[in-house]
Amino acid sequence: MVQILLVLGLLLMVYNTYTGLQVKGQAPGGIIGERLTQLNALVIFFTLGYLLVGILTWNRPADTLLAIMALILLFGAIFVFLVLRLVQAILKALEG
Amino acid sequence: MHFYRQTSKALDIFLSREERLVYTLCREAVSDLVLAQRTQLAPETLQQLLAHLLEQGLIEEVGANQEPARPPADPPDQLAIIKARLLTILQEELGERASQFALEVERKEDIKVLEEWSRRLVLKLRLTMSQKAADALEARLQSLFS
Repeated sequence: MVQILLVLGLLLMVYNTYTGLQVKGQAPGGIIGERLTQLNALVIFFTLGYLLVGILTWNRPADTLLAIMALILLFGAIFVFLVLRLVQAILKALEG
Repeated sequence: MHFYRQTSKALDIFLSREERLVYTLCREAVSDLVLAQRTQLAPETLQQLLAHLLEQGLIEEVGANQEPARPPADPPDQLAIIKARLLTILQEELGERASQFALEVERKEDIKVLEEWSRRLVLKLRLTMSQKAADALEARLQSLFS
């Protein structure tokens, strides 16, 4: 169960990394562009963090603490996903 | 006195600020005298620009008895002048990136619409391209549309 949550979080973060870089291409500068540079750096950092946590805890027996941590990581990935969707919506509104 | 008019050839080369202004004013048949008056360029410079545009096939010389140029207060001409100035401003502030907005500027058929689009462009620049360019463009737009 914990492994599934970690893998889901990692997959979502990999997708977020791709989306973040794609969105950055649409906003190379300005307020959004500058913040996206920082956001993308953190997204990449956290993606590597998810990978590291997954590797370090893979063979550990599941306990409550590990399950809570995996859930927090997954919701963190969902949070980043929603932020990027918001940025995409703003950019789309600016195009129109 | 010679009259010039844009040809149907697509604008696919990079024009200087003055060349773009002359090219835009030639949307309808216009004389070299009117061009000199509106662009405030020296006659020799204007002739050089016209020669270059003729050479590129972007404008053509039309007969002197064809449609004369309209007076400066005519709205379509005013729109063309504002468009040319706006494109010049964009080119100065954004460099090569300005070319991506040229088509949108050309599409606008009303000064009010163009002004509204320009204001939105300032916001877009501020958020997605360059805050510095947005500030500079905003300041110059005030004088352009006042």
